[in-house]
Amino acid sequence: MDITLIYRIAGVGIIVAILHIFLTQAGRQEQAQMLSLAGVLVVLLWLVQIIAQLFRNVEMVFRWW
Amino acid sequence: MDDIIRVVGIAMVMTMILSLLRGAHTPLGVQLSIAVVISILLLLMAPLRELMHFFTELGRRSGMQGIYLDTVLRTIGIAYITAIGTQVAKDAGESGLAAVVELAGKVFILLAAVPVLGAILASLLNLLP
Repeated sequence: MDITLIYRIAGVGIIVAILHIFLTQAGRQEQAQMLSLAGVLVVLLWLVQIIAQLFRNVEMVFRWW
Repeated sequence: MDDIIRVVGIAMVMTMILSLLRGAHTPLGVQLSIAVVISILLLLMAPLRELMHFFTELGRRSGMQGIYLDTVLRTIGIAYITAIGTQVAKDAGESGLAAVVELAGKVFILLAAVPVLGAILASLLNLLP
């Protein structure tokens, strides 16, 4: 379940990088920037969730009941 | 055995993809490296929980006072999280941020150790005439 997330992020990264190169070559700098920003934000949303999960787990494991 | 093969396989595949992505699109490369680190750590959580369970059981059987083992476990947890944060920041080339995170870890570890230090001081004062 966690492994599929990193493959998803890798796929988004590669697609965004390729489209960024295309749009830059076609002379549409603004759209390339917007695409890049959107990709970063989407991945950031996923990242925040797994970071929160990690911190919860660490807090649960390293504790004395 | 199964898990370590999985971890090493993920690390190899992601190293290849990251070397591609860092050149083409740096912010997403950094995000992917963070995601890989966190996913592998989440994979490690189940074995780590078993280990910690063993240690707490050991401490309970030896009749140790709970507060000391609690401090040790808390310190290990803080060190673990701090190491993750430092590594991620250093990976992205932000060594200043990494230094700040390291300092914060040291401060919070010291803060967690304050009750033990107080107990040592109290027993020393008891020993003195």
